[in-house]
Amino acid sequence: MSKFITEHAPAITLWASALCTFAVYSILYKENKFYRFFEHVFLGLATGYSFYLTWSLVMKPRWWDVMVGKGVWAWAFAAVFGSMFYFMYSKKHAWISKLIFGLFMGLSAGGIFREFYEIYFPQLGATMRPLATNEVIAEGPWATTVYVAGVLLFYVILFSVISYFFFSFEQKGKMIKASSSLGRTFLMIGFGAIFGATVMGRMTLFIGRFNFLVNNWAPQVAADWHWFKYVLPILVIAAVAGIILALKKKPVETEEPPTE
Amino acid sequence: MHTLFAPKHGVELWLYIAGSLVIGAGLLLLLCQTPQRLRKPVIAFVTFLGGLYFTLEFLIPHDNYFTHVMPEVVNAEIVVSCFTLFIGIYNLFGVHGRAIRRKQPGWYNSVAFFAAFFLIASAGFIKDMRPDSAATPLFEILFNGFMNSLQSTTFSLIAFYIVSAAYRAFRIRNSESVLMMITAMIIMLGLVPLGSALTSFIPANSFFSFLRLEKLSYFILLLPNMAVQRAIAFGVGVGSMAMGLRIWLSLERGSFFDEEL
Amino acid sequence: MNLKKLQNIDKRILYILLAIVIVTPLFVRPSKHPDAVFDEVQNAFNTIDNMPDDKVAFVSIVWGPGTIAENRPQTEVLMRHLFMKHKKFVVLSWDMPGTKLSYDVGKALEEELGMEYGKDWCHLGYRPAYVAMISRAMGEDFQKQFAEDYNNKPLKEMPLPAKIKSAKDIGIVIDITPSATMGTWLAYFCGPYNVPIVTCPTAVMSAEAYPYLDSGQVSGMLNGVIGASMYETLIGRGNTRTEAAATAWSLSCAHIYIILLIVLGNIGYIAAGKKAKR
Repeated sequence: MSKFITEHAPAITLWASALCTFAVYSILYKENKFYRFFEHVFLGLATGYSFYLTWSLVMKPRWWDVMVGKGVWAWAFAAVFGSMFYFMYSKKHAWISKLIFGLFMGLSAGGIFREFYEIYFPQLGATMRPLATNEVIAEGPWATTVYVAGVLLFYVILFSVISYFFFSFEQKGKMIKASSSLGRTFLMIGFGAIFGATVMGRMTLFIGRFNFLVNNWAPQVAADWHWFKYVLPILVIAAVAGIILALKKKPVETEEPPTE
Repeated sequence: MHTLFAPKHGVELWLYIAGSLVIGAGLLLLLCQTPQRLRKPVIAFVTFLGGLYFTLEFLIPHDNYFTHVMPEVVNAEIVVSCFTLFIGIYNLFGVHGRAIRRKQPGWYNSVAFFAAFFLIASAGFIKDMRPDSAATPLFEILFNGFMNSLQSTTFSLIAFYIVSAAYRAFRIRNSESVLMMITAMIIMLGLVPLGSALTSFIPANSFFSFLRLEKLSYFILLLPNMAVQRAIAFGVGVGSMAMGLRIWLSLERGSFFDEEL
Repeated sequence: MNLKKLQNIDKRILYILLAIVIVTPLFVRPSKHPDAVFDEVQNAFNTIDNMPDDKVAFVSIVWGPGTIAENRPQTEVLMRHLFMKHKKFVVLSWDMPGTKLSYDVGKALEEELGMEYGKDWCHLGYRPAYVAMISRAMGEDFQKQFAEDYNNKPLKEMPLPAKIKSAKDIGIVIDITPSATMGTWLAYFCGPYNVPIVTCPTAVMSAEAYPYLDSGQVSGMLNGVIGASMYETLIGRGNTRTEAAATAWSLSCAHIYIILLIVLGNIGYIAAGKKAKR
């Protein structure tokens, strides 16, 4: 068995990848047992891998080896602190788990001053931009006009969008209402840009899987099995038949995965 | 003090470790005895201390004590947080163990879960101990053949749903939806080579070159999009500052903070 | 023809057509890369190119199998550039499966380009996602933060990682990520220690990075796989059949297909509206 695995590991990996790809895509047609089985396999593998990696790359070198190998016994207290998380399973003493969660939340929250200073202060600085600079003026009147128009447009978009997010008081005045409405319009441009980029990102992931099937799996199969080139047209015909069938049948609703 | 914390070896080390665990258990027992009225203040105090560390580290000029001990603090935090790994495993084992015991519908999937878990974990540990064994290729098969493929294919499913959503939801209902749709289309075309080839007949150095799709999409990204994202970032920045302060000072409300202890 | 039907095409047909549309360029595998190279990609190239030789680049891997199609081409092209220019670099993964995936990319390039592990590059393994604290701590004392590499070999035994003492030895941070880690690097490492950062987000995250490029906080960006294909042009692989180039052309077809679907859906919507009015 072990000899077989060692000798055929690349081929098994390739076939397993293709099998998993088809199994997951089968959900697009309808809910099925094949998909659910591989879903659980994935869950098991991901959990097992996390367990292995957390121990071998974090816990062992940074805790166990230091404590037992180098003799720094005080690291034993890390286990005591770590055990505090498990009090969440006790109804009576669940508050002890909140103690350690609170510590971690405090550590995260404490970074907010640095984050605000390092991330948003330079943003404020970059926002305060002059209408034109000497370099721009030196380039001529046309370049200056374009530059000034760009800066003005930037200010209009920025302030109108900020005004749209003023929830601290009721937007009563005509000026603030108009600005807020304009901000909402500009937000649509931002959302359009995000949507365009999102489509690109999601499509890339799908293309990645197809790239594997077309350029890794299929050539290997074609090289190993010469009859594959006869099977391929049958698969294409089956796909066309699938389209015709789908046209005749009512669509089957599948469970849509949560989006990010 | 220095002698106490000096590295120990052999039996002495194990005695010290056992002693630490006993002291730790004693402290936990003591915590269990804490009166109910003191529990919330204790949590608030510990949360405040946690936040105070990074606040002082930032406020005190560079080269302060808090910055110097950062590597140790981070190390301890990482190690302690890694103990949470077993919470997830415990829950999953509970759910799937129950499914098998009660022979619930699809129980064989739970068997597959356990098999996959033990297979990859043991292959990982064995390959580290004996790199020449069959565990190394087995680990490769499980990682690259199964786990990697399953995760990337699952993520790629979103592409189908985004196509379906774009087709069904992008309707010309009002001027705002038109604006959003046109922007999305320009970005989608301008960023890819075939899209920008559609307007390549416009000379690159002519007055109308700004109408080339790649230039138009880049203009949208650089000016209107940038200004919108910055305005949103300011909102997020102020919001996260307020949220950070509320958590640090235990002023936040919600299920975690308001629950009876 | 009943135009109203155009807004209700069976989704399985949409899916099959999508598969057909994207698969064609993958079969052809064109070697041609995008003509345009965006400024942020050029700036990323220049920043890496100008990194002093005595400094080390820090490559932060936040991606895993989920976004492998976008982030692996970015990782591959950046590592290739670093190897080609004999710039030393270390890699750290914050994602569990991403650890092995990024190690494999580095190893494959190391063998292809005849580089040496431990001397030209090094993989520091995996750390849980405490980017903020770990980045700050490594800026103070690198050796204390990273004692061993991916293979559990002590860093002191390898010439490259042994010489990194603190942030002063790091010339650039390259953050290859599908999530919002760029801000964390800016706040805890690049800002306080004045180290330039090049970000390589997935396309989904890219629109949000433009304010930071504008303010100069971020030196350059590779926007998803398109950014990677543009970068390939810059390192002289503009006419090589690569995964990024094939993906760029597949993306082109997919985008045009989606735009056609949106147009068809709207024709159906308008037709249905007119019918209802009548």
